[in-house]
Amino acid sequence: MKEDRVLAQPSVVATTNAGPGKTFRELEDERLAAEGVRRVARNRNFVRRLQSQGLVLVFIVVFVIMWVSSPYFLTTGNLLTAASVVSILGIMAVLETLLVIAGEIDISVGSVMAAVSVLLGLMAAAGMNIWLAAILGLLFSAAVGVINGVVTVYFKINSLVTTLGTYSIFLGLAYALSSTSTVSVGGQGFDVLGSGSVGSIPVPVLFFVGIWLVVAVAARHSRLGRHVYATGDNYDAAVRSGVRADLLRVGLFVAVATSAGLAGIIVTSELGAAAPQIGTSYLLSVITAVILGGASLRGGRGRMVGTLVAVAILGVLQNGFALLQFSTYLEDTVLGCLLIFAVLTDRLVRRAER
Amino acid sequence: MRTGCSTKSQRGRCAPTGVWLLLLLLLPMALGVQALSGSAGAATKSAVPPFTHPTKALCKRANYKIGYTVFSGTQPFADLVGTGIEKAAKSIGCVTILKTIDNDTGPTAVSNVKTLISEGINGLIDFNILEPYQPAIAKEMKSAKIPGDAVIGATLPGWPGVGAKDYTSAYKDGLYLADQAKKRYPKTVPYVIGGAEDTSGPLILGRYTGALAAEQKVYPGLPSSHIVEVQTKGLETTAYSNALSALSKVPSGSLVLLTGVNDEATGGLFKAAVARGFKKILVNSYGGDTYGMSQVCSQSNYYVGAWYLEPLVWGRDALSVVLDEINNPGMHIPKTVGVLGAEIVRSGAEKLHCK
Repeated sequence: MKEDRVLAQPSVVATTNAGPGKTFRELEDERLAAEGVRRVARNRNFVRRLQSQGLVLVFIVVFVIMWVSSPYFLTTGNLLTAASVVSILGIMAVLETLLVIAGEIDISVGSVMAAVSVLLGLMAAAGMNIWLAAILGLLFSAAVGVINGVVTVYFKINSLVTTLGTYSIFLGLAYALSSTSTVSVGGQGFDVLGSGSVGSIPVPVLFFVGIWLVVAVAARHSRLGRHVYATGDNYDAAVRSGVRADLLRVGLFVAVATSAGLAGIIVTSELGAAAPQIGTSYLLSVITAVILGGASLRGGRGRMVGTLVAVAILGVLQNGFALLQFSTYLEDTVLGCLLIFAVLTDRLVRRAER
Repeated sequence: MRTGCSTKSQRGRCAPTGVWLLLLLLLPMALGVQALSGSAGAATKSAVPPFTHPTKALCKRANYKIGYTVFSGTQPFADLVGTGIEKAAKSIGCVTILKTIDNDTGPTAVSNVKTLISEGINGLIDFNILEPYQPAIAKEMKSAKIPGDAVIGATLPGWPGVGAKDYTSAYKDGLYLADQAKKRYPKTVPYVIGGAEDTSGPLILGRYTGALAAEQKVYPGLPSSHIVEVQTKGLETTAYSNALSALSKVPSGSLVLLTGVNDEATGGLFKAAVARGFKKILVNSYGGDTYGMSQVCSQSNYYVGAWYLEPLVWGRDALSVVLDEINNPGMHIPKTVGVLGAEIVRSGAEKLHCK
């Protein structure tokens, strides 16, 4: 509230500025107040620019480093490969961004991927049509989303706690059902999802770009998008203004879990194998992409373009590290640094807004 | 007593009489020496016990309680190691196995060891894959004065490890693969794509370096640009993603030879090579679990075979070692008791897994 009063001063100053009969001291006070407001606005703009353009700058720096370091990096085939690899992460990051904007988080995506993959393997092994099994896998992941949403929203449990629980439940289930073994899955043209391409564009990239476009347009130009931002920014105000915030949040949990299910199906397709370990490497990278992209863990802020750039950064890093044969330790270290960079930038933006 | 040769025809095969006399004189001496060497042999035997052959002779007590702490109750390889331990215990007859499972959670593993110690175990077999928690387990064992060994997995500081002869078995794996490549494509210099796992410590890294050394032996002077190390974390997905990227360095149409630290990682490398459009691919899987074998069956155009690590033997040997430690405290036991394994080609895999 104190900050609100400070920010409200300019309008007061503006209305009284033209008034006659002011002392020099009053005029000087008004001038200093106006200057302070301008400074705050300048800071805010600077930090916002730092957040959005800084991300692009990071991308350019990383891209150039990899380009200079490896002669194989800047080739069409390699860039398409990098895009294909990172698309799996991107599919989940896009919807996770919406959920984070709405003020929630889902860390169960890796285990949902694993559970869907294992179920797919079991159903295929039992002789079921692989495409039908994939649809059932998607429905299963949606059901996990319903559980996450209902427990979080209607039982008022912190979403971090809820999804930590479901992460553990479904990962355990995946390991138990599969006996930790990897099962070959394929046939009936199923590998087109993970390994197919349209022209020279890999199918996973098409999935990612398609989902990103739909979500980006919806977030910016639809009522649904405005409701997501409103819910994350101020839940009570959103509810008072008629937003069905609870239903919206449940729906977002379902969307995130379904995207994880889809990612699990695509990975199973590209590997031709179902295994409970397939989601292991995605948890940290999905959250990193979302936060690095500028979505605030406190809700109400985030941009799909930011997530797209963040996903691209992670893709370039993964690809470059593999090309340069760097240790996985270093990759984890860089991911951690980026995560902290992103959180610090968010903190700076918040502080500048005060 | 006739000691000479009675007929002319026998002479060529008979010793002269003097030689027999000499032998008679030497016999008692020889027996004495044999007795001496027998006792020396026994002493040698107790100093270096046959660690890998559990027999009833190891039952110096009526009953031994042996703890077995394992990272998974369902993982097929761990299951087979457990079965090896149980089978060996049953054949010896004096061993009771107490088993705990930690689901690959380090603190639970340490806590399980404490529980086993409180249950009065005489020795511990530790099969975990998280290196960082092993010192804590070793500390618990030391303070309770319980001997043990590790099924590797991960090393247990201060105690012997039983597992694959990582470097040597990977060397054999790589050798077989490179030999097959040389036979099938005699004039082609291949690209060697090796799956590594630098997160599991130096022993497992030996699987990468071993295979590479063998391939370099078959292809002397293999250019460094033809060697591609792919970090896999032991996972198929990571192996796939990283190999997909790393293969950008390899010209299309090249011959690629693939080996990994386990069957899943090898499978990931293979899928990546296929996805990048390579046709000349040769793979030798490493581990020989059901997935690796199924790949040998279903992808026989590419898979030359799988190196089978014989998990049942790991369990048997781990029990034998721990019993030797209990019976002979302070005895020197090699740091690593390695199981070499064997190459299984399609005909062998067919009997087990191909349908």
